[in-house]
This record gives sequence, C-alpha cells and structure tokens, in this order.
Amino acid sequence: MLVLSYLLRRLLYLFPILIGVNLITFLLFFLVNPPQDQARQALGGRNVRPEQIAAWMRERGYDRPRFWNAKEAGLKKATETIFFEKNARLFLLDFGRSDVDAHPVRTELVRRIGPSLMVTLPAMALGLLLHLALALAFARFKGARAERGIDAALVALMSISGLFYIIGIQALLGKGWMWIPVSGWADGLDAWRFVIGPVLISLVAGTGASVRFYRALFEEELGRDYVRTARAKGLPESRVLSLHVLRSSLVPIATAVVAGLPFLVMGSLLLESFFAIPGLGNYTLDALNQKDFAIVRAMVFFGSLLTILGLLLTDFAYLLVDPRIRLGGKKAGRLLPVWLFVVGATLVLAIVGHLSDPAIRAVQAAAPLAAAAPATPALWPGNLGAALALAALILLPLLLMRTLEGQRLKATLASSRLAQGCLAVVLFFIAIAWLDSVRWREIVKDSAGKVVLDPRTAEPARAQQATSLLDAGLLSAWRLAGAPVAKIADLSEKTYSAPFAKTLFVNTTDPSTGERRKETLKHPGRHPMGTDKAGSDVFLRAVKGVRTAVLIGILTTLLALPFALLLGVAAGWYGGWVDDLVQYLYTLISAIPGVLLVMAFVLLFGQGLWQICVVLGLTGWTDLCRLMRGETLKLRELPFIASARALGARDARILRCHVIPNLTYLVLVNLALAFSALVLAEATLSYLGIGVDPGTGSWGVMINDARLELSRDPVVAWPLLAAFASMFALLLPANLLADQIRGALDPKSGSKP
Amino acid sequence: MASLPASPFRFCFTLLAFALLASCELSRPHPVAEAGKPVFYTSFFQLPKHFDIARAYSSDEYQVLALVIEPPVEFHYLKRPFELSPLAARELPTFAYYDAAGRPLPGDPPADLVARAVLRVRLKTNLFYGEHPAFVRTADGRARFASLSDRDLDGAKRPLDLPAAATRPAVAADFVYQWKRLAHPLFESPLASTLADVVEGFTACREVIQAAVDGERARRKTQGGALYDRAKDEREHPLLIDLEKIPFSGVRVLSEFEFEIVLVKKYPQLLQWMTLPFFGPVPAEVERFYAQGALSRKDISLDRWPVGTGPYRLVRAERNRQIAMEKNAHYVHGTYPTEGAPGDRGAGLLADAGKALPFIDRVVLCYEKESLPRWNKFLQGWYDASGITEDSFDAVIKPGRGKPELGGEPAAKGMSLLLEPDSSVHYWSFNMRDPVVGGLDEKRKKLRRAIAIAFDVEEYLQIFLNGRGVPAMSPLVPGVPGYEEGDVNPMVYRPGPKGAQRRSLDEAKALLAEAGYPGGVGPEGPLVLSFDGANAGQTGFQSEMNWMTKQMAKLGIQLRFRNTTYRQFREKMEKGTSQFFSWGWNADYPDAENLFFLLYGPNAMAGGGGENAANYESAAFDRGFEKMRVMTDGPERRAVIADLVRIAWEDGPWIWGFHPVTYALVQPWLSNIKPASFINSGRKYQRLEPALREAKRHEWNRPALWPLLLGLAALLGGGLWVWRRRRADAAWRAKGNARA
Repeated sequence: MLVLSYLLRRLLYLFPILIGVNLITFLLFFLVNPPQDQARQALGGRNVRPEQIAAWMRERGYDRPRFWNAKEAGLKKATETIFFEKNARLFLLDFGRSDVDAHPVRTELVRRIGPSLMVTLPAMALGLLLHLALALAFARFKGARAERGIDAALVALMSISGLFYIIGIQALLGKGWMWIPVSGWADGLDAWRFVIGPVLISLVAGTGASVRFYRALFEEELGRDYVRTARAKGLPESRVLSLHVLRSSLVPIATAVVAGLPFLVMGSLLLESFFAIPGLGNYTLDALNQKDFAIVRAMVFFGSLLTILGLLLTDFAYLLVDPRIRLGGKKAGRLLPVWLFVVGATLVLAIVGHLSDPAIRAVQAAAPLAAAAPATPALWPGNLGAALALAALILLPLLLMRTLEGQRLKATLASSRLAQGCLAVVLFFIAIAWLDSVRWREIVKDSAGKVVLDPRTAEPARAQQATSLLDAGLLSAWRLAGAPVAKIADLSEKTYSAPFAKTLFVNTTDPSTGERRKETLKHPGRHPMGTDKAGSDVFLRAVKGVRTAVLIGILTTLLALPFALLLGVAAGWYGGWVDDLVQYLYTLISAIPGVLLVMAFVLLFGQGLWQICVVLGLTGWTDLCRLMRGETLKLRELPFIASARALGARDARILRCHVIPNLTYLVLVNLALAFSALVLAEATLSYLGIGVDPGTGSWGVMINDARLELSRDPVVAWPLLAAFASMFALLLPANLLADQIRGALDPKSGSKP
Repeated sequence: MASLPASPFRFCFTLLAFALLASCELSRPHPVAEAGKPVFYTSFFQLPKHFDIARAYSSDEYQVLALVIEPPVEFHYLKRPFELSPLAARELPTFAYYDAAGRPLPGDPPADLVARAVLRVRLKTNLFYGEHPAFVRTADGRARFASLSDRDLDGAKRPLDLPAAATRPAVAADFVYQWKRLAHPLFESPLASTLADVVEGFTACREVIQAAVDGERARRKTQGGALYDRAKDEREHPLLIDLEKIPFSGVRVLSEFEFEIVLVKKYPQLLQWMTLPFFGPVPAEVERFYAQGALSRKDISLDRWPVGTGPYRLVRAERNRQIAMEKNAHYVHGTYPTEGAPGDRGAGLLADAGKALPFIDRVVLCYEKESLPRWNKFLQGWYDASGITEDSFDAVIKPGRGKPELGGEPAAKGMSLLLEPDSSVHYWSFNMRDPVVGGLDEKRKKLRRAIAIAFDVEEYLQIFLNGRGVPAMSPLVPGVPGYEEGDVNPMVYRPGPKGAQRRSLDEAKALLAEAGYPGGVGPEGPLVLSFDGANAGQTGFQSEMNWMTKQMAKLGIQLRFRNTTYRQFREKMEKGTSQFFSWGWNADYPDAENLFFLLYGPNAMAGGGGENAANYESAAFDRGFEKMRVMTDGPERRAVIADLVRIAWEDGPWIWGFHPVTYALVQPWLSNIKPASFINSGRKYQRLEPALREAKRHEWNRPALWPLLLGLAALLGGGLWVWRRRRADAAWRAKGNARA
C-alpha cells in the first residue's frame, strides 16, 4: 500500500514534467517554426507553389489555429486546434503520422525498438561486467607503477570521439579481417552477426569513462574503516574488493545503470547510422535530415517519457539496493506549486500562441539572423569574448585564493610536477585561444601595395575577413621559416598534400596536356601537418580550432555556472516551494533529449559558436545544480552553520561566507570534467550538421570531414590525426588536472594540504 | 584475484567462437538462402517518400517505380541520342493537330495555328498486373477483399499477406483513371500545375473532384456530430472519391485498349513526360481496395504498395530499411531490344536480343546511409553495382593520359568501369535583380564575365569531383538535342589549336576594371560579394567555401558567406534578395525546353516561385524560348537553340558550372549494362551470373585468422608471466617465512 501511494505521488509529480516537455516542444515546433515554414522545408526543392503549401498544411491539419479556434462551437474551440491535435494527443500515446509520408509513427516505433535494444542491451550488460571487472582490477593495483600509465590510457580512450571507434572497428573487423558484416541487418535471431560490431564499439568507446567512474567509487569505499578492518583481519584483497567494496558501491552503480535505461531504447544515432541498423536512432536521424517535424516531435516526447520512467525506476532501484532509504516523506516533493507553475506557463503560452504570427515575426526579427548581416566593425566583437574570458580567468583564481581550498590547491600545485605541467599546457591553450580572439580587420592594399581608400569615408578600406594576433604570429613564423607568404591565405595549395611533402598527394589532370600526375607544391615541405582538400594548411586549421574548443569549454561553463550555483544553493537552502520549482526545472530540462534541443535552437537562431555556447549553457546546468542542491542540503544541517545562525548571521552572509566556499571544490572538479565533455560534444554536433558555422575553425568540423577522408584510398589521415592530437593535447592535461584538483580538495581523499 | 581473469577469458572465448564461425562466412550481410540465385543487390541512401505514382518525383523513387509501373512510352535502352519507343503503347503515339475551326492541320504546324492537339494511345493487350489481392473476385464477380476487418488482417504486414492474389490485363480505363488522380487535389501531384496549362478540362476535373471531396467531408461532419474528428475518421474510413464517375473532357477512353488526350495548345514535350511513372495505369479496384479502414490502420496503402504491369512487383517496402521486388509472374510482353547504337553489338550488348525480359529474379535495395560501408560492401562483392565515391577515386582510377582506366582493387577483382554523363547541370548564379551584380547593362555584364573567367571550374572539378565532370558551356546537358560537343563559351574560353583554353586572369582583371572595379575596388570601396546558402552543416562545405573565396580573391573581390537555415535561404530566393549562390537542375527528359526554362523570364523564382533562380529576364531570350518550346526537333529548332545559347553567353547570368559524369563500377558477373541518365528501368535488361558471384564472394571474403592466433599467443604469454610472477612471489614469501 505504501509503495502504491508513493508511486502515485511520484507520478503526480512527474506528470507536470511531461506537460512541460510538451509545452516546450509546442513552443519550438509551432510558435518558433510555424507550419508554413515546415511545409516549405518538407516540400523542399522543385515546383513548390503557395497552393501546394496550403494543401500540405490542410492535409496534415496544420491549417488550424494554434490554441483557440473561435470559429468552432463549444468544446471544439479548444480541440480543433494545432495544440490539441498535435501535442495533447501525445499524452494518449497517439504519436500521429509522419509529415513526409503519413506513416503512423507508433507502428515504426514498435518495429524499431527491437533492433535498437538488440544492440544496446548486450552492450550495456557486457559493458557493466567488463568495466566493473577492469575497475576492480585497476583498484587492486592501486599504487603500482602502471597505475599512472593505465589512467592516462583511460583518459586517452575518453578523449577520442566516438566516430573514430566506429570507423576504425568497422574497417578493421568488417573490411580488413572480415569477421563481421560491414553493415546491415537481418530479422529475428539471425541479427546476432550484425550486433557484434556495434556492441564491441560500445564496449571500447565506453571503457574510459566507465572504468574511471567505477574506480572512483571503489576508491572512495576503499578508504573506509570497514575495509581497513577487513584487511587487518587478513582477508585477501580480492575478497575485500568483490565482497565488500563492490557490494557497497552498488547504489551509485545502480543509479547510473537505471538512469541510462532510456538511452537503450532510443538507440545510438551514430552507431545505427554507420551499421545501417533499422532502429530508433536511425529513425530519428532520418527524420532530422528530412525535416520530418512530426517524427521529431514524437521522439522528443517519447524520449522524455522514457527519461521520466527512468527516474521512477531509479527511485525503486534505491529502494531495492539501499535499505536505509524509506518511502514517503518529502521525497516526492510538494505538488501544488509545481502544478500552479505548469498552469501559469500554459496560460502564458496560450496567450502568446493566440497572438501568434506578429509575435513570432517579432522574435524572428530580433534573432541574430545572418540574412542581412551588417558590415563587421573594424575591431572584432570576439574581442569582447576574449576580454570576458580573460577577466574570468583572472578573477577565478583570486576568488579561490580566499578559501581554504585555494590554499590546498596552491600547495598541491607547488608539490606536484604533474599538476604544474598540466596547468601549464591548459594555460598555453587558453593563451592561444585568447590570441586568436583579439582580432581586427586589416587595411586593404591593391596589387601595387598602395592603401585602398573607401571613397565614401575617405578612410582606408578594411578587409572582410578578420585577422587575429595568432594569425599574425603564425604568419611571421612561416616567413621566418622562409615561406614567401604575404598573408595567411597565400599559404594554401591546390588540394591535399601530405605533411612536409613536396608534391600534391593526388593526381590532377594538367589541362594543357591532359595528363594525370602529381603537381609540385607552391610551398614544398612547409606544411608540418599537410594540407586539406581545399589546400588549406592543416596545422593552421588545428591551431584555429583551439579557440572554438576553449570558448565552448569555458564560456558554456561560465554560462551554466550561475544558474547551477544560484538555483542549486537556493533550492537546498530554502527548501519548500523554491526547492520544488528548481527540481521541476532541472528535471524538465534534463528530460528533453539534448541533441534535439540543440537542433531546434540552431534551427531558430542560426548556426554559430555563440549559439552553441548559449544553448549548451542553458541546458548544461542541470547536473551541477542537482549536485549543488544536494551538498547544500547536507551543509545546512552541519553544526558550523547552526553556530553561525546562533551568532545572528543573516542568510545572505551564511550563504556567501560559509556555504558557497564549501561548494568550491565540487564546482572546480565539475568544471574540469564538463570541459572535456563539451569539447567532445562539439565534434558530435558537427557530425549531425549543427556544429559551429563552417567559417569557424573547429576540430569537430575537421573530424567530420575526416569521415570522408578515412574512406579515401590511399587514406588521407593527417587532418584527422591533427585534430585528434590537438584535442588529446588539451583534454589529457585537463583531465589529469581535474584529478589532481579533486585529490587536493576532496575532504575525503585525505591528501595533505 | 578470482574475478580478474574472467573477462579476458570470456573475451577470448568470444574470439574463438568468431573464428569457428568465420570459416562459414560470418561477414555475409545477405540471407544465405539467396546465395546462388539471380538476386540483384544494391543500396540506396536517400529515402523514397512516395510510391504513389501521382506523387513520386525523385530518382530514389523511380529506381523502384520504373520497374513496377509501365507508362505508355519509354526511352530506347540502347539507342543514342535518346529515342522514344513504345512501352505500354502498341506503337509510338503521334499528335494530331486542329485549328480553331476544328480543321485538321497536317504535319508539324506552327504553334499559333494550333487550337487543339490530340494524342491517341493504343495499348498492348497483353499487359498484366503483378498479382494482387485487389484483383481477386468471388464467384459472383465481386471483389473478394472489399470489406476487410481487422481480424482478416491479423499478422498481415503487406497486401500480399492476404490469402489470395490474382491478376488482370491493364485497360485504357486504368490509364484514364490515373490521369484523374493527377488532377486530384488531395494527391498534390507535382505535375498538376504543368498539366493544367495544357490539358483540356484538367482544371475543371480538379474542381469537380475538390467539390466532391468538400461535399463528402461536409456530409461526414454533419453525420459525425459535435465530436467529429476528421483526421481520425479519414484514417478509419479513407476518403474515396469515385473517379470513374468524374468527367474529364481532356482524357477519354475510346475503346477497351485505346484512349486519347486532348491538349489546348501545342505541347510536344508531353510525350517525353509520358516516359515517367506519372502516366502509368492505376486500376480503380486497387484504389478501392486500399481505401479500407482496416488496411489504412495497418498503414497499407497505395502510397506504399504500388501495383503495375512492369516486370517486377514490390514484395517488401520498408523504405528506411529494405525494398525488394520480385518478378511479375504474368509479365509477357517485354523483350530485349534487337537493335542498338553503333558499337553495341561489339560490346556484347545485343547478345540477348529478342529474349524475354527480365533476367533477374529479385531486386533487393538496402538502405545504407554512410558511404564507407556502402563502398566496402561493394568491394567485398555484396553489392552488385556502385558508384565511385570521390574519396576512393585515386585508388581506383590509374594516373596517366587519356580515357580514365580502372586500377587498384576493383581492377584486380575484374570489375569494369562505366562512364555515364549526368542529365544535370550544376552552376553558380548571380541574382539578376541584385543592384551590384544583376542587370543587363554592359558594366554588369563585364563584371559577371570577369568573375566567370576567374572561377576556375576545371580546378573545381579536379579538387571536388576528381575531374568527374564536364565544364558546362550552357544550360544544355549532354545528350539533349541541340547540345553540341566541342561548343565553347567564347566569353570565358579562348578557342585555340589545342582546344579551348580558359581566358587569362589578366583579361578578367581588365574586364573588371572596365566594369568600374579596377583591382576589385569600385566607387563604393572594395567590392564585397555575398554568397547565399544553407549548407552550413554539410560535411566538407568548409573546403568549398575556401575554394570560392580563393577564386574571388584572384580578382581582389572579397567574398562573404551568408549562411542561413534552409527556410531563410528559400525566403531570400523567393524575395529575390540573394546575390550569388549555387544551384542545380536535373533534367526530367532530354529536351532543351526542360533546361532553357531555367532562364525564362516569366519563370522567375523571385515573386513567381518558378525555377529561374537567377531571375534572368531578357526579352530576346524569352521570345526565342517561346518559339523553340513548341517546335519539333530539326535544323530550324537547332538554329533557335543556338541563338538562345548565344544570348545567354552574352548576358552571362550564370557561371556556367559543370555537368557531373557518374563513374559506375560493375561487378564481373553482371552484363547488358548501358548507362543512361534518363532510363530508370535498366535493371530489367540486365543479366547476372549467380554461380560466378558466389565463387568470387568466397574468394574475396576469407576471414583473417592471424589476429586470432596472435591474440591467443599474447594471452598465453600473459598467463605464463602471471604464473611465474606468482611462483616467484610465493618462493620469496616462503623464504621470508623461513628466515623468520
């Protein structure tokens, strides 16, 4: 009975989240991208006339009003609307039909869950076994000489984009050794041969992150008293690990596993695409490519539904594994404020929706559309970003130094060569990013070297492309090396050339003789990492990618940090309805599949570095916020806070002087971890076609292009290696540094201050 | 320690299992049951949207539909230039022309005299549909599956899962029925607007159908009451208008196997259009069959399961996974052509002359999005035909002079290379309404000409297409009557003894100076042009951007990229606010009209939504086009075409771009292959030797065993090392104990 009432309360609490998801999808798909535009996108290329757009909308029921149909009578005023027809029906698990071919989404969903699960389930089960075993082994050898090496290898595994694993393993096992079919699928159990490759890739790709996660859990347990007792009693280490440590770590392991369940069903976009697996991931990707918004909408909702089910399951998993957790109490949250919030939001949305078109046009006009981009000013707006980043970098350590953690950190840095080295490398990258952010537009000179004046202003005319300090520096370096280049653009060749090569890598046809041969380079031997397809220097591209990576890493975290800190601390400290609302918000945002959210955002506001930072920042605060809330809850009950209160300190002072400083170490550790995740995320987004705009240097774009280059024969590997090496050079020290910081700051780790 | 070795052992075990199974073709992606049978495998990577022939209008759809549906005419498989030949029709239909008074006009009269054109189509009498349950009748002659319930369809996923199927011959009424479907407003046929202009009574028919639809919907609404849900109702009880009763004055049945089409003006291109599946037959009972709620709920519809008289019938239609076709058991009328182009006999293309088609039993198309696995599977022999990706080009095509020659792995495996000129033109275009680059005055013409010279299309082809393309001289694609091989655009090329050479950069610079932009600097400062596009997310687009920037920089012109979402890009194009962009067109049929209309003024994209993306408008060109459009091919028409090309060269609204050439690779076990861009039904002529294929596949797919042995050795070595360590450990401990 208790279980039942608990379940009911949880459901009542989770239901508003579904409504929230529904409202957000409605907002994105119907207010911001009106059906007319969807029709235009869907009908696409040839012979599209206004009547056809009207017919398209009529047939799919998009010609109705959005929220309120004044023309109808009675209940139909509300039901004969897009909102009711397209969104409210989702609650009845009526996923509607595809916009493109009118096939029911539910049929496909049912058909495709199987193949997705056939890949993800074994991948998860085997992954759990393998990774736990490796983590146990790793924990067993703690302190051994190999430890650092293994750790670096794990970090390396983590720093590699999933695309490498897919392309590499598929080529090796499928093409090279012919152990598995390159791609494809079969019905029924016959599918097992097609599953091997994807499962193996999942296992390898997940090794780095999972093993390190499990090892961290084990290490925490290993530091506890009961382990010492067990050891003292002479229990062999293997039994200590398998009997005690593993069992005690089950709670967080179960949480992680259960939280991952929804992703099992949704499939993997990349894997399914490369292996031609007819699962849900492939389905979603096709829908995205085809602009089939009905499917995308349904998948967003379905994904959120699964996430919420996952949350419920997590609760039950806790119940099962940890007897200390009891049902009932405040855990389910108070329902009233959440419901009030939902009703309010719906009303606001309804009003906006009713005003609709003019409002949408206003929003779209305000959005930074590139449709009529104004001329760029002489100094680049990126300078502002550079200044901000720099200011943050100076301020952060200053703030840190005031805390106890800052002192411990300083001590760690002073004593550890590794930490110093890592910090230096990270700072070096930040410096490159900063150099590349200070930009200006060069004065245009004609072929005679004379300055060109702009007749309208009588001032020297400026180039369209901005030049950065970094460009100028690199140019001088090349000149010193003896390359006759006047500007960066002169450095390029016709097309691919290998590192330090003297000729082009591919045959080109000489137009005058008709002969196919390898041409000599303009700058033979001066491209340390070769050149790419359009002949641009790869080293230059790799260096230009640093800014994008660092900015995405730092700016996004800086954007997410205030949200996470403010909301998390407020929720933990004040509790009550504040807590309820904050919990609601972060559950809501984390319930929507991230990729789809980014996609919608990019569709709206265009593609660019800033847009990516903003959307990742807006969605990325939830994990940290959850953590902050939990820590604040714990801190609130500690004696020193009670003493402060007894001394008459106000809330603001306690928060500023006692609570927030005590959260610093968590923030720091998280920042470092989030940083690598973000740099990798950029690569994946580029694969999906929603990364930074193509004019911006980016490792993600390089990796994405490399997908084609790897299939070249002979293989063009250097752009990929350059991107990988740069990424690794940044992420390895960043991760190691994060480890060091954690070691220094975590009160439980017990290292000396 | 106990848990440690478990996972390596398990891993090792899996490896061992692999090895055992590897010897029996672990890498085979197709069902073993189909080995040794004439089953053709290929892949597709763009999803077909519709199989309803009133809607389908893309090559991904046509590679299926062209094998299932037979329109009245087709292009001859072997003859070049393309020649129409009858398919469903008994002989090639010809137009009869009448003047305003109804008097017949002999021969090929001028268009302004023609008030009516009549096309009579006499059909073959032995066209049989692929077996389908819609044709099954009960003893009393009624359709057997006319009222299916959900229970009847238990476990059925396709119409063919019903317990019986039958066939019947196609009659003229079926063709006329499809014409009415083309006019049906709910089917949104992409051809409707074109046909409405030329076919008598098309619009009227459309309106009658619309009225019938509206009437039926209104009736259902009143009947359904306040809670009527149209979408749901139409899903449960699909809307079916009895088209047989709808009059269509322009298309009429004359006899069981004859019908006529009446046009209100001269429009000879209609015959070429009639090679497309749009004009195939649809039996009324098939549409009635699909209009049952039980089928609609199961997502079984005409849009997924087309029915036709072609050599194949669709047996599997998972459009995002696999599409499969099987021989139509009742297909009797098709035979392999007995004559071809010069050289075809020598190439063995006439070995099967006169034999009954088709030669392949089953055609399977697998959905494969990524090019890498697609290519690898072709090399392993799992796909029977493939294009060459740009990326594998260098390994496959030998360096050297002259005609491209196959090398590398494909050559060693005995595959052959076929070159197939595409029926498309890709170009960069200026918006002719733009104040800077548009307009027909001399200065702007010079500006565009200068840019066209600087844009080194030959280099573009080298870098981005490995030279697999022909620089375009005009919109005309190779193979279209009026396209002259060796014709050169004198504005951009200078004819010379060794062939035409692109004009020099100095000439371009001089032109630019004359246009008022010496050194790329004009009265308003340095010239900055904008490239409009929606390619931001496209893989490899960055390289293309860099290349374009370089071309413009040769003249001192700066290029800016205005990358937007597709929607915003379309909006710009439709408002005419773009400046410079790239575009492409794939010809529907080999006729100059289908290409020159890309430059026809009234067809402008800005404002009108036509296909003239450049918004080019020249009175002289428009006059010539209107004249050419209705002429029959002949020297007179060729002269008009040459004039049109000259006008277009002079005005230069495009940088003429290129025509891609497809390099197709064919496995050694395939024969009767002749590439043709306008023919989608080539598969029905092709022949496959399954025994040779099986042998080759075995030879090419021997799994590697050495990694396995290596792995085992490493494992053994590791085990030995651990064992020795432990022994040493124990010994050391024993020694310590002893000392203690």
